[in-house]
Amino acid sequence: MRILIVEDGLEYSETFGRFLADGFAWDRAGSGPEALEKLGSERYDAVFCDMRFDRVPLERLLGDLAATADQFNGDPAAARRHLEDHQGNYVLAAIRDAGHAVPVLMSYDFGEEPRRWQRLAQRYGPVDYLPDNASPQDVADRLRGLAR
Amino acid sequence: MILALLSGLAFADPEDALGPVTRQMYAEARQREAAGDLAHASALYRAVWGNEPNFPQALIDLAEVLELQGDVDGAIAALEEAPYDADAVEALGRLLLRRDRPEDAALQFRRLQDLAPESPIGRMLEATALARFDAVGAHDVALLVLRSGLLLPLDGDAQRLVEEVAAAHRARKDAAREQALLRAAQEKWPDELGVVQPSWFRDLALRAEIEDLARKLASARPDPLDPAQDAQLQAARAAFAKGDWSTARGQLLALAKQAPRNPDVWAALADVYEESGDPAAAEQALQRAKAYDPLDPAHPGRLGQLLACAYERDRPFSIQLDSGETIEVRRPCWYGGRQEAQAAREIELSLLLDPNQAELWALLAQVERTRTDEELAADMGAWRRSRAGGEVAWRLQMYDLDRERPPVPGDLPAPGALEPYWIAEAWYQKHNPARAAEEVARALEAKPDDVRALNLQARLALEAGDEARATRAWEKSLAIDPSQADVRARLGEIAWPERPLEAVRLWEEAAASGSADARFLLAREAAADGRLYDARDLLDAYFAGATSGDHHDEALSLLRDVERDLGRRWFLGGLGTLTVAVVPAFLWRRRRAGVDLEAVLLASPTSWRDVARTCSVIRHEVLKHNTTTLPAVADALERGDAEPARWAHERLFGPRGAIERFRERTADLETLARLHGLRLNLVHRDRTLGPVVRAMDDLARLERDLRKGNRRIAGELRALGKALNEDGYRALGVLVRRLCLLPLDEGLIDGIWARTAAEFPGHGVALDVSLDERPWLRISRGDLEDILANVLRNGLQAAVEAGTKRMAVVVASEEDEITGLERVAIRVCDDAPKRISTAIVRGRYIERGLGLTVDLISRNGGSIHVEDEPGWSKAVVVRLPRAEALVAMVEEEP
Repeated sequence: MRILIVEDGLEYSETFGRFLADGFAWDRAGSGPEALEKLGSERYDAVFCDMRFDRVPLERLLGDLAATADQFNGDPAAARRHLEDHQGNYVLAAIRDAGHAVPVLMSYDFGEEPRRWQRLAQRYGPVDYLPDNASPQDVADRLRGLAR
Repeated sequence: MILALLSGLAFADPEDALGPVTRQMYAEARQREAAGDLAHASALYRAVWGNEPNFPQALIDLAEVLELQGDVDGAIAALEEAPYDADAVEALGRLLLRRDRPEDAALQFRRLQDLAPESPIGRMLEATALARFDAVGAHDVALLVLRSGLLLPLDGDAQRLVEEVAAAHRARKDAAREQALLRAAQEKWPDELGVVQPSWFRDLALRAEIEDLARKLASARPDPLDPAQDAQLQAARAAFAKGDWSTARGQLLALAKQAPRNPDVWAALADVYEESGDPAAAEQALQRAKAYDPLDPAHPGRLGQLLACAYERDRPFSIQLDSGETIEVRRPCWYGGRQEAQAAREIELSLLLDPNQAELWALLAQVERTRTDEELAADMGAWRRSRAGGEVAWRLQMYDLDRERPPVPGDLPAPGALEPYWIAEAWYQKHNPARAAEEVARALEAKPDDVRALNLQARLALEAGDEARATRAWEKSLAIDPSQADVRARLGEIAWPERPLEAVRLWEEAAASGSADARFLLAREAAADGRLYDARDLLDAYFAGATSGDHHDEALSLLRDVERDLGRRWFLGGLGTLTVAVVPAFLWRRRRAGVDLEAVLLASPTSWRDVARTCSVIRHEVLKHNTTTLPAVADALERGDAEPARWAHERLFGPRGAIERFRERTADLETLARLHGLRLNLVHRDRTLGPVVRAMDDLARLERDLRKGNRRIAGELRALGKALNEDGYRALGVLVRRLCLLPLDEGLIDGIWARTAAEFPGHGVALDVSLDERPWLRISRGDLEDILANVLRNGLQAAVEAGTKRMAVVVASEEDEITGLERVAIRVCDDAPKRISTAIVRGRYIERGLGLTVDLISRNGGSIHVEDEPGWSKAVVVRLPRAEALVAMVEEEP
C-alpha cells in the first residue's frame, strides 16, 4: 500500500519507518505545495496528513495571509498562526480542488468537534481522522480501512 | 546583452548563424584571446566580422581585445561600425564610460533606448553616465527606471546606478534628492520576506536614514513644558475628551504661544482640528509635532492615519465633462484619499521608529492595497469610466486623488547642518553604539569642548561598562559647563555604592540645581536607610518637578513602597517575633499546601487562555509522537528488539526531549499561578494534571532502563502509555474544552444593553435583539461584556448625536469553508450617518476609537469590522470564534 505522508517534520515518517515498515511504502511531503506536486506525478492509495505546520516558511503555507489577517483585526502574526494551526485543512481543500479523489486520513482530534467534522467530511470526502494519541498500529489499521 | 535578453528564446545561440569556416575561425579567435595572444585574436575577430556582417558579436569581442591592447580609439571605431546593433551600442557606451567620457556615453545609451525601447538597461546606464556631469538629469532618469513596473535584478548595473546617482547628490549636498532616490530604490527592491538586499544597498539606505535623522535632530530643539503648562495640556485633553473642542482649542493655542516648539501641544491640537472638521490644519499641526520630536513614532503614525482615514465634509467640486459642460457638486470625500502615497510613507516612518504597532501595520496593508497613484489612475480613466458608473463618478474619484495640500508651515525648522555630533546621536538612537562612538570621537576631534558630544561619549562608555571613561568624559563636561545638574546626578550614580559620601554630595548638588533624577536617587537612598519620611518628601519633590524622567516608573513604585511601609511600620516589629515562632510549621504546611488549576482559574478568569494554550501544547506537542509509541516500544522489547527503546529514549530524554518540554510547560503553569499570588501544587492537588505529572516522573525514572533496552520495563511502559496517552490525553482535552465556555443569548445582551443605556438618560433608542440559536463562545463573561458594552455604547452615542431612535443586535453564525471553523458574528446596527470605518474603530484616537475593545477582541481570536447592513446605515460587526465543545456535557454542569 502506497501512502503519502504530509507533515512539516519527520515524526510520522520515522514512526512509519520504525513500526510499520511491513505492508506500507510511503513518500513524505513537507508542505501543501509539495504534496500537490507529488500527487500530480505519483499514484497513492491514501494520504496521511498532519494538521499543524509551524516549521515551514510562510511562502510554503497554503492560504491567503492578507485575507486571514482581516479575520484577526489585521494582525499578520495571528493570521500566520491560524494558517499554521489549521494547515492540514488547507492541504485537504487544495487536494480536492486539484481534482484528486485519494482518501485522506487527518491527524487531528475532530471527535471533539462533531459539527465541524460532519461539514468537512461531506465537503471533502473520502476523509477520516485519528486523534493525536493514536498508536502506530491505529494509524495502520485506519489507513488500510480507508484505502479499501 | 540586450539582444541576448530580448531574443534569447528565439535564437538560442547567435553562433548558429555562422557558416562552418567562420565558426571555426571565431572559435580559434576566442582560444587565442584566452591564451593571451591578442594580436592574432584581433585579426581573427576582424576576419569573422568581414565574413559575417550579421554577427556583431565579433566586433564587440574585437573592441574588447583592442582595448586590452591599449588601442582605445581602435576599439571605439570598431564598435561604431555597427550603429544599429543594440549590443554593440551598449558596449560602446560602456567603453566610453570607462574611459571617462560620460557625455559621449550618455549619447550612446540614449541611442540604445531607441534600439531597445522595452529594456530598462539603456535608461539605467544613461542615468549612471549623467551622474558624472548632470546630477539632476541623472536623478530624473533614475526615477523613471526605479518607478517603472519592470522587474530589475539588484545587480552590478543597479548598484552603479543607485550608488553613483546618490554620490552625485551628496557631492552637491542635495539631501532631498538623495532621500527621494533611495526611497524609490527601497520601493523597487523592498526588504521583504524572501528578498535579501545586498549589504551595499542596506548600508547606503542606512547612511541616508542616519543623516536624515541627524539633520532633524539638529533642528528639532523642542520646548519643554513646566508643571503648570503640563497641567494646562492635561486640562485641554480632558476638555477635548468631553467634546468641548472650543475650550480645548483655546487652551492649546494659548499653550502653543508659550511653548511654540512643544510636540505634545501640536499633537493635541491636531486632534482638535480634525474633530472640528479641519483636517488641513490637523495635517499642519502634525507636521510641526513631527519636526519638534522626530523620534516619536506617534506623530507620523497619526499623520498617516489622518491622510488615510480622515473625512472632509461637503467639499465643492466643479467638474468639466468631456462634452464641455461644467457641473457643480458638493459632497463629502476622503481628506487625503485612501490612495494617498504620502499616508503610506508616514505610516512606514512610524513603523520604522516602532515596529510594534499591529494596528498601524494593518492600516498600512489597507492603504497599500487601495493605493493608486494619480498618474496610474489617469491611465486607467477609460477603464474606470466603463466600470465605475460613468464619467461623473470617475471624475469625482479623480478629485479624491487630488487633495489640496495645505502649505507647509513657514516657521518649521529647516533641516539642520550635518554635524558629526548629531550623526553620532542618530546612530545612538538607532542602537548602534559602535558607529555612534566613532562619530562622537570625530565630533570631539573637531570640537574638544562640545559638552553634548562629551555627554554622549560618557553615556556610550557607561553602556559599554567602562565607568572610568564615562567619569572622565562627564567630569570634563562638567568643568566646561558646571550648571549641568543631570551630569552631576549621573556622576553620583557611578560613585555609588563604592563612594557613598561622594555620591550623596553629588546628588544633593544636582537636586539643588533642579535635577529630578537626583531627587529620586536621594529618595531611594533615604528609603534604603529607613528614613521613610525623608524619602516621601523627596519623592513629592520629584513628582512636583518632573513630568517624566529616566526614573519615573521606579519613582512611582518606590513611592508606593514607602507609603505602604510607613503604614505598616508599627506592625512589622511584632511580625518579626511571630515569624520565628511559625517558620517550622509554615515549612511543613508548604509541602502539602497549594492549589489546583481550577483555583488559579477562579482567581484569574482571564488566565484561561494561557492555561488552555499550555494544556493544548502538552497534549499536541509533548504527548503526540512521543508517548504514543510506548506500547509499540514495549512490544519490541518483548520480542528482543531493543532498538526502538533507544530511539524512544532519544525522543524522551534527548535535547528538547518530551520530558524536558513537559516540565517547562508545567513550570509555565506554576509561574502563571505565582503571578496571581497562588502556589500551584499539580502533583498533590490537581486531579487532571496530577496523574500526568506523576506518570511523567515515573517515566523519567526509567531513563537508564530505556536507554539499555531492558526488557523487564515493557509492562511498565504499557501502563505509562495508557496513563499518558489515554487517561491523561482525554483528561486534558476535557479540561481545555471546559475552559471559559459561555452561551450567548438574548438575556445576556439585554442585560448589557440595560447597563449601557443607563449612561444615556432619556435616549429614547430602542434595541431589537435577534438570535437564531444560542451559540457558545470560548470567552470569559467579563471580556464579552466589556466588548459588547463598548460597541453598544459607541452606537448609542452616535444614535443620540444623530437623533435616531432604533438599533439592533443580530447574531448569526458564519462558517469558514476550508477549516470548517465557525465564527459568531454579532452585528450591532444603527441608523446614525456612516462616519466611521473599520480602520477608525480599530484606531486608538478620538472617542470613536475602540482600542482597548479591539485588543480584547484580538486576544479572544476575533475581529471587528464596520460593514454595510441592508435597512440600516451600517453595522459594527464583532466576530468571535464559536466553541463547539461537548455542549451537552457543559450544559449538564451546575
